[in-house]
Amino acid sequence: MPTPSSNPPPDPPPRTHSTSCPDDARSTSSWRPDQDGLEMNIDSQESSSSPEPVSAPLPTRVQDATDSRSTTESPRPDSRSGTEPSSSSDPIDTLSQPHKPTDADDDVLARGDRDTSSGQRRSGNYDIVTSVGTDSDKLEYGIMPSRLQDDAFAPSMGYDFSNVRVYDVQVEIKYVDLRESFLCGFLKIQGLTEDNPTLTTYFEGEIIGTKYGFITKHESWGATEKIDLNHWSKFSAFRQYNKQVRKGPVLIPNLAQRENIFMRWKEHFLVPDHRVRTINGASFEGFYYICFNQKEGSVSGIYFHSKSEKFQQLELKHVEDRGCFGAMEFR
Amino acid sequence: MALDPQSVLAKLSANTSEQITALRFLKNEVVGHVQKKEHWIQHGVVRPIVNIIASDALELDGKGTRPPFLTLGTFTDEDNAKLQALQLLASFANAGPAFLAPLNAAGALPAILSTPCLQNEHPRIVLAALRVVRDIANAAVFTPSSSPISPTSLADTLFAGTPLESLHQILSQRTSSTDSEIQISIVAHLIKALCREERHQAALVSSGILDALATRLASFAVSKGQVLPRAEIISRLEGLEDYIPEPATSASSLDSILGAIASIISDSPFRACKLFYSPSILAVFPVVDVDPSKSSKSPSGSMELPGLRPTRHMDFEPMDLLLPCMAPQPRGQPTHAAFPPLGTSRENLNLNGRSTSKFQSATASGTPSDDASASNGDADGEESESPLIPWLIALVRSGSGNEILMAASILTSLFKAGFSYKTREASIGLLVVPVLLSMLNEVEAKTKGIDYNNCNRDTTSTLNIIEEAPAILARLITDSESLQKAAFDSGAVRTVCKLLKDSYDVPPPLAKSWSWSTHNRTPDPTEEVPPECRLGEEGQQRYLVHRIKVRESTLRAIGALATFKDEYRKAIVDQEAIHFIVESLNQDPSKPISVTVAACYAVRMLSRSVNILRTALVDHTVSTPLFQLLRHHDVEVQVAATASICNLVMDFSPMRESLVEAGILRILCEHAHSHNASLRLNALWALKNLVHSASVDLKKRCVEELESGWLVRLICDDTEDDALFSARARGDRQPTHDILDGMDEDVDMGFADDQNRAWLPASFYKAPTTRAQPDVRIMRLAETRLTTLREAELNPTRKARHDDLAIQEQGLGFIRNLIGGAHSSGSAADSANDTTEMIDYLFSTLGQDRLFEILASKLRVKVLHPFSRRGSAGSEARVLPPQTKIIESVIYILVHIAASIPRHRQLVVSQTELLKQLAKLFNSQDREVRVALCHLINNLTWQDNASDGPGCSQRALELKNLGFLSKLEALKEGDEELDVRERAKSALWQMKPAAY
Repeated sequence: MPTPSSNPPPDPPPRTHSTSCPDDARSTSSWRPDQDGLEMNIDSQESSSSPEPVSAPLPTRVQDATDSRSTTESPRPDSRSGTEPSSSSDPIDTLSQPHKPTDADDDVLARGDRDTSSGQRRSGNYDIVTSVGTDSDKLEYGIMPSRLQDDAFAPSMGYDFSNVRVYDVQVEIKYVDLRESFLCGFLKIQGLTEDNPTLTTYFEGEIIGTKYGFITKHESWGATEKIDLNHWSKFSAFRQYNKQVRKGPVLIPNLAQRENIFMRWKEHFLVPDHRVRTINGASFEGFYYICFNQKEGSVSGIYFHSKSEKFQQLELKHVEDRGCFGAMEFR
Repeated sequence: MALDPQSVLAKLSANTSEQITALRFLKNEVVGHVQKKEHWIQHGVVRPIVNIIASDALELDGKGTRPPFLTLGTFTDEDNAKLQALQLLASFANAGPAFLAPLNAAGALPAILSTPCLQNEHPRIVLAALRVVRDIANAAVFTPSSSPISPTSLADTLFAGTPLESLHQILSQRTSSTDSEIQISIVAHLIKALCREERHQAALVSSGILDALATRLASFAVSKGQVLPRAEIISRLEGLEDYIPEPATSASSLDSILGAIASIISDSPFRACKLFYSPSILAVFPVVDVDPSKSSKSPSGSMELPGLRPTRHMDFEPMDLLLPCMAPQPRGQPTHAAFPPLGTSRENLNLNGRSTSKFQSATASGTPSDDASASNGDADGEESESPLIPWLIALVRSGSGNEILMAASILTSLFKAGFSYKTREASIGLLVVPVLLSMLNEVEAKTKGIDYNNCNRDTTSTLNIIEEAPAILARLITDSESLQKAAFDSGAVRTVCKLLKDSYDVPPPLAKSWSWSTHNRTPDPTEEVPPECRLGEEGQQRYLVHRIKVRESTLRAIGALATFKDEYRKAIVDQEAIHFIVESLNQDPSKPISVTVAACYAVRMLSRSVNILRTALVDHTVSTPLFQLLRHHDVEVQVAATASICNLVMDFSPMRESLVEAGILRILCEHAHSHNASLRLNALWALKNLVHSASVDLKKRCVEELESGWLVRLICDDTEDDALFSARARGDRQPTHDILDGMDEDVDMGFADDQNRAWLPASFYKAPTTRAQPDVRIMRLAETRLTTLREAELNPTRKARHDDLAIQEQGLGFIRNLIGGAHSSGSAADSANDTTEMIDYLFSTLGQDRLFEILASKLRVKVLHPFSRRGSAGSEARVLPPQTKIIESVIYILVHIAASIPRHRQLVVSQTELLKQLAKLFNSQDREVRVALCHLINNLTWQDNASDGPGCSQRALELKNLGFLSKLEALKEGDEELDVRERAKSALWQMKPAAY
């Protein structure tokens, strides 16, 4: 676990995506966070949600429209690609942690240094997000190498399967609707195929909370309960739910107050032209299991698609915006 | 006996018996023969016929009233002639819209509506007169716009003066006979068909017609044996015993009574309240806290008024026994959001709040019913619901056809006004919504073989259900997620989309009955033919009128379903409805604007989905027709189109660029100067979204086009407020003066709007409402509350203030986005430079000090001008705290400025007064305000580089001296929001090195 508060966090905490709507806690669960002492008022959720009715039930706030800058100025990709292969090369069964506490701390310190000593980070920090797609051998990341069904395509891509490939990924969250446990945005991946140096997809996220549970309910996504649990278990933050999930559906009320927020991100179509359904050498038929750490502003993800490499990882860092985000609102 | 035209005309002007002969002859000639009707019209029979009615009127007026005893009960020849004449006119009116012109030219309506007809002592004559009016009204629905008689003009005539008085008398008859039942039914039908506009609704309330209708409604409860137990005893104790009506006879039609009431109430809480505070309703459905275990002889309490915000469930609510048993709801616990009181249904579409459903959040204070509930809450807190509500639900369950529909419509009005228990939302979802939809499906299946040219009563009612049910459903579910779910689960998306699509089917072939006139129509060779001898234009086809109505209605329902949930929006897309929705945007002179407005609404709701925006909507290039609608001649369409544009210019919208290229910027800036507050609001909203992450160039163009001076006026109110104040002080005699005490906000444009809205002078209501209310305790109580509600609703200032606040919020958001990063292109460094450039640009165009002064003024508690309220004791000043949304916008503007270069940070820190205001906001209820404050401190204490070190410490010290440090500590330790705590933590971390 990242250290909670003994160290002052040098980096301003990430924006949470909860500004638009009150958490709609329809039901309460008896679940208690053992670890992160954040919840002072779990029991009062009902009472805290009931005064809300006055506020609009309408999700209209567009939150963080973000773009991202490229991650090239950040030293992190290197350091991470150093650490990650080890975790990703772990067999499934061992508990590999996509991000280790030590990594986080290092990061924090590193950033802290930069923050105080130089001004470089603040330039253009308007946005959150992103860096580094990572990992795993053959395939590209995020946007999956095409139609893996066709093995024929694989060789032609000319990747060196013995190496870990790392791709630059930028994610812009375009709209968040906590009430509907929904978010969506663009996912941009660089250097995946030669034809398309940059590919952007539109994705939608299901936030695990009151509306969606840990178990994936879309048959077409190809995940079974076992696959779900296998993937979620890779996140250390999931441990507290592990047992409960095996017993039945878990509801997580009061999401905005959780340190970690779990999601599933599913890419739906290409940006700008959604009518382009296939890309030579890439596909986006799978989906991501996501764990977003609100305090760190980091997003970890694991890609799943039945026909692609297992446990490819996604690691995103928040691009500092210093509270500068527009007032965007659907009418 | 055959008569030639000349002799007929001669006889019509002769003595009474000759007249009767001629009239009989004509009747036999024309009934059922459209051609013959036309023929006789051309011979000019209409005027003499009208004269027969009118001469009688003149005679009466001239000689005073005849002594009633002479004529009482005797049906004279004159009466007979009159009856025949009326029947003949009805036959002409029945022949279609083209016949309205000659009838109008001959002055038929004034004659028919005169007292001697409508208040004739012979019920048959009254009935005959009403039938003519009904037939004219039915034909008027299909008239082309050029026609002299339209539903609106008819309503203007009918719902005013003597005719209105006559209608009231007819409805209030105590003796019942077949004739009187039919009369009542026709009057109710007329009200339902014609009453659309606020002024008519108001007139029908103040004339006592709503009360009369309520009594009729109560008589149905009596005849069904659904009067609450012991209502009689209770009423007697309260002095209301006279108001328990006789049971309705089976002949009378409940659906037209319900329909009339629904039309009158529509979306007005005041009128809805007037219904269930009506004496007969109170008498038949009394609210008394009864202990059922006690003897029935002694009611344990006195009658209470049903609450306007009922919360107290009673132990014994017998009316609920009519409803199916439901799983017990946790009582007294609100299941969902409070329902906003809506204004008119029009507001649902064009609106000011952020969406239909965001009324509440947009108004921190002062929606009419807030005030109303406040004023009634002072009594003893909790109140109970009117038993009328469960009764109506039961009626929806047990009724049929139009009864269901109209009962649902009234129920919707009551529910949306907040006059029901919160738990009713669930009941309505389970008990009402599915009924509406299954009825719609059932009826829809029957429409296949309908012959639109030959509609009998049944088919008319079928068509009517299809036209109205989707709109009623839309109204019911608009603000309620759970009701939307109920509708969705009942297959509403499929049903409604199918209806919309079907309305674009190829029309059925025309029947011959319509084709005759086009050939036979004389090309009008002789200009001298008097107008009463010429037919008017042929009306619209029933089928076309029907499908136009269906389109509007279904588009509203589609919009309502798409309000909140992406799932539902996607389901609508899956039904392939988008094509037809976009099609409905296209301009077409024959299409009423209401369809266009409803289509804009549906598009707006669907465009709330990024997914749909990037797929279905862009595929159908919805931006093209919408863009054209921005220039529509009707401002209402402009308002609706501009609202949809707001979503299309989002930075992630694929249509943003093409709209910019098409010149959206200029149009929006023009609209932002409009006199129409809603249009200003929407335009500014769209501009705010448009400049978000746009290029510096676009942003600057936007400010130039909008004019910086105008921007300042939009967000700044004080000068105008003062001006208004002095204007008001001078014109102290203004009748609306006493209800303007809440006046405080920008009335700049709003004032102009006030004037427009004040078309209904308060006196309009005041004079006639005092109609014969008994001096009964409960009625006096009711009157007091109604007065409050009415004032709240009539007060134009509230809406003006609301509009102005909303506009200011958008204006501030616009500024905030101007100085947000222009980061979509270029590197991070560019974006920072852009921000700095824009800040300096704004400082130079708006004036640096002026900008900060405006921001500070937005945070101040406002002292309202001390208007002395008539009847209230003093003229003490009232204060109004600034609105949260506005505070938020102000702070974020500062956050953005402080994120720029050290010079700008320094500027913010030097605004001591502003900072002092901010320091007071740390305990704001709104988490977003607290988060924003943390951002601000974070940015102000940010150190760019070593050279900024001393400056940074200085700033931190400054902030500490203002008390920010301790406030941050408090947030870090005690705030309930994770987000706030974390941000406070990092702000503290930055502040502390300097502070120690």
